[in-house]
Amino acid sequence: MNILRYDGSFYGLICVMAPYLKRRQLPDGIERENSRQPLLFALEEEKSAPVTDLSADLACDPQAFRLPGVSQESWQNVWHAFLSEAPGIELAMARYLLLAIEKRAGIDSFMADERVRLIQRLARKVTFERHRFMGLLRFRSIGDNLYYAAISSDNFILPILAPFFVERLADQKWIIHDRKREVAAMYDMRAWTIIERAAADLPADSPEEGATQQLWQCFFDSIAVRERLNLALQQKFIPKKYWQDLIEKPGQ
Amino acid sequence: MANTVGCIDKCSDQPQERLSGIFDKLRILSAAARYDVSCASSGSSRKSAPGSLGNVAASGICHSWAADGRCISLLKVLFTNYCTYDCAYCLNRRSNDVERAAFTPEELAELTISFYRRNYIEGLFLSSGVLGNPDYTMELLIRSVRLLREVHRFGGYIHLKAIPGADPALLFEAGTLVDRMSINLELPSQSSLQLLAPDKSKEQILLPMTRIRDWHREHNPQQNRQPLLTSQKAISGPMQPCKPAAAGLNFVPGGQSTQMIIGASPEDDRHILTLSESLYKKMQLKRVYYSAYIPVNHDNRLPEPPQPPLLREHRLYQADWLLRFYRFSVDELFENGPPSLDTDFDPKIMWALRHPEVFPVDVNRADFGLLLRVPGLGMISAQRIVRARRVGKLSYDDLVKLGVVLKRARFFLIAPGSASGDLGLDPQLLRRRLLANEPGVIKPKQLSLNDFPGFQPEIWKEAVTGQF
Ligand code: SF4
Repeated sequence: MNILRYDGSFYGLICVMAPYLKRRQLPDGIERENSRQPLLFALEEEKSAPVTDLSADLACDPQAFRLPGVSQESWQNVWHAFLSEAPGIELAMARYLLLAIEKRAGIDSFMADERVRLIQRLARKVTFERHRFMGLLRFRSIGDNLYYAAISSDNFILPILAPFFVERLADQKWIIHDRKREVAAMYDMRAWTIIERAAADLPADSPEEGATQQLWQCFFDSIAVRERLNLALQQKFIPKKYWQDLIEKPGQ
Repeated sequence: MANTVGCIDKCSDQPQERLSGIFDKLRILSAAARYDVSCASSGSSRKSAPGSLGNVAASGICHSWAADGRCISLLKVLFTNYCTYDCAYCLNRRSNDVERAAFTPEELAELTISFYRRNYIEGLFLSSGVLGNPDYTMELLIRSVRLLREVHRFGGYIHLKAIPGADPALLFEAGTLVDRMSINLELPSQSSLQLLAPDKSKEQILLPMTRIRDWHREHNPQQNRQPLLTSQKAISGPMQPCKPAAAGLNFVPGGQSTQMIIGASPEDDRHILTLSESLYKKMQLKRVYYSAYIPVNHDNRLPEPPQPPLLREHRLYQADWLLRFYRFSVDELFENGPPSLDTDFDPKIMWALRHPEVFPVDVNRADFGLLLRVPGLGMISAQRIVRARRVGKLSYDDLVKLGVVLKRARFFLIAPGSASGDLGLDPQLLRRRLLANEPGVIKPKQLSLNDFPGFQPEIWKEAVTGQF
């Protein structure tokens, strides 16, 4: 039995998997070690932002990522699918990558193949949730030009969500706190980084925060057309699980 | 107005005296803007300076959904609801006794920034009643957006409604500051306009539209010149890449749009869509918005429908979508039939039922354009089919695996292993089968996400466009 262990990061996972894939073998199982060292592997789209490079101390040959037949699109898909943290995702990724190596062609056209479909579906789920949070994430002012947002996402979207805000809110400092995973992204107007085991206490709001939140609630209520009330539709777009971190109150 | 009570409750009782003014203004001026339909914040290609505040997302982002199920993307407000005009259908018309308010440019800019920094919004959608005269009003609007761009260095999205009758020089100036500009067409014909909006004329609306089009062409040379109607680009790529902005001056990089009110005047669907088609082609508009008429005034020039014509509005959006992305023309749509859209079915099924000779379509052979005409096949499904069949013949089961929704499509296509296509496509029979398939009364859906062509997750798109 070949059970691989990896450190919990995408980078680490590919490192332990690559030698098998290159021999066209599948391990029998892949297990995550307790510690989470999530990410810090950024593909093309995330590269725009400066990322703290933790990969230096990983004993891994960069050649691990040179898998023949694996296209940029496929890499992107496994990376996003990985962030779904779905049980068994590691083996699913291995099967998908192995197929790519065997076919030596863009396997993402083989959408009827179970291995491809699974990864594509998970990747879509993750990027979909990221897109959702680009809109639903709410910052609150907790100090001088410092903002805090809490999210509880189904998927571990922080590493692909933070770069969006690095670009958008470039002239303010902010923290995005993934409460479920106790991980936070921090941006100090120069670079952003991910902090593990981030504390869950809510920082105190700055004085003007309350009034701004009320203005937003006021706008939120008054923009709805009463003649077209449709709370079911509203809830379809903002599922209840996301309500807790919003400022506005849907469902009223 | 009874319908602002909820907000009054929320907004009154403010501890800080200083702020109560801004609460009232926001309450009044957002309520006054709520009937404006467009929420689009996509399609602009303006690049902001690195390190500054705000940018424009090519695919558009909804930040919330209001209690009416509509997407909230922009801070949508009027600068003021004072108005010297007297349009019959408008709540803010001069002859109405309503609470009035006006922002100052400073207040508006600060409000926008404080919302943007908290990620409540993509930007600002600014419209206004006519305060004094059109030029004066336009100047105030320009001051507001100039403050945002130049003092606050705001790089987010701004959609400005131009004031009909304002000086062309002001129009141009505004256009260099904002992402999108629109001038409401209001009503689909000159005679209705005359009757219901006596202070506005067709020329006052069409002339500035033409100007904006020409300036836009001149100052956005890199942008796709083709009218949207023939372009598939907007939806086909995975994520729409931002085109680099033209060096120097940018003039409404997000193009212009317009809006008309549906059901306040007698024009039929074909008339309305013909108008839209020519606006897309000749004026190169990015979007035409349709707004189901909601009676807010008692006025004997206006009908008083018991319900706003939401289903009709929905069908118009669907047909509009077919014009812009599915390569249909208005003449084709209405060929062999009455000038109004079918209420039972979406316009694509309506067309299919009138053209049995086209179906069933062979999944493995039909070109992309023909696949798009199959009811139930959306853009993404058609793309998947084309891509997947390159690596092997597709069976009916494969379609299911690709995630193609076959509820309606199965009646119109054939693939190895499919049981359909043998219906003989008798329109009457098909009609009945399809109706049996529909979940009772078709609920009108919101179409606000139509604007986000680059937006991938098709679940939303299908939920939103009705997957046709
Ligand atoms: S110009 Fe007409 S539509 Fe616009 S605010 Fe004034 S009355 Fe209303």
